[in-house]
Amino acid sequence: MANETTSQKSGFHVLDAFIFLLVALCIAAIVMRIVQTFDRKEQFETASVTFSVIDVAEDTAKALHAGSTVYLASNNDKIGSISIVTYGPATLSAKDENGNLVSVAHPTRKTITGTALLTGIWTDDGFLINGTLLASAGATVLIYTNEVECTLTVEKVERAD
Amino acid sequence: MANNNKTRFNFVDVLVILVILAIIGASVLLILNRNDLLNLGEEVPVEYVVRISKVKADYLPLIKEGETAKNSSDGKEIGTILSVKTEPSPVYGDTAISDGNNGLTVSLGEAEDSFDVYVTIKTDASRDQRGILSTDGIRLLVGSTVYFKIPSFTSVSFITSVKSN
Repeated sequence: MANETTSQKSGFHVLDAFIFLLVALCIAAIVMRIVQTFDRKEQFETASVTFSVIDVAEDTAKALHAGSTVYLASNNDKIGSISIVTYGPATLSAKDENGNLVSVAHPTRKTITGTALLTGIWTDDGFLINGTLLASAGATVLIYTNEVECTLTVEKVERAD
Repeated sequence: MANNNKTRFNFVDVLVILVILAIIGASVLLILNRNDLLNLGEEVPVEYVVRISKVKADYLPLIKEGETAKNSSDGKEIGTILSVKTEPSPVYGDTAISDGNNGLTVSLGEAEDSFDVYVTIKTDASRDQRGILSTDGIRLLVGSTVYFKIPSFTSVSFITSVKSN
């Protein structure tokens, strides 16, 4: 009986120790994640990303303006702004008089080209937009501004001055 | 002895409770912050136009004024149809022709049996602190996809214009 009482008072079994370790690990993981996130945001740099928005309606092309703030559609984070934007006819393939396929201007659809100053982090693999999305040539990023939502196709990424 | 068992509350229990409380607190903060940024804006009346491409002529009578439009992905209302405008869908040739400007293009014609339908929808949308309008989780922006649904007709559509006061 005396033994039983002692054991209950100390009340710290292997299971408790296991739970304690688990909780401690969870806390450590959360703290590390928070610290990493803040650290990453502090390390963010700006890159000049040349992009195109391929084959869109003219309404979309007209609604993307220089100076617009850019948000990432997947998590609504602000990732930068559009610095230069122009648009022209999209292209499609058609047969010429010899039956060869040639690239011609689309009568109605447009392709937007431009440059955006986006924040992120430079890694050995390249520039990660917002620290998460690798901005390699050909990568697509769904973004929106205050007026328009569209998919940017990355053409080129350079360090911004 | 029985009392001791009931009230036993050790350090690990306190720690577990604290962690659970911290997780709940962090989640609430996160949700509040996100709502603050995205949703807790003012409600404003909005008219937006969606384009539904290549609708067969047989389906045109189904899209009519006064009908309640819903989001086909979740069934929630996205507004009331104010007006409907149709125009023949464009048809493109497959042979290169001069665009009259030293370039090449293709001919542009009109389809006989399919139409592009422009539907003006009226709704009350919320405007967040950034000025972005949304309804039922759909950002009301040019180019945004709307999964348009009315009785007996469903289609993917794209927003072409947004007008708010």
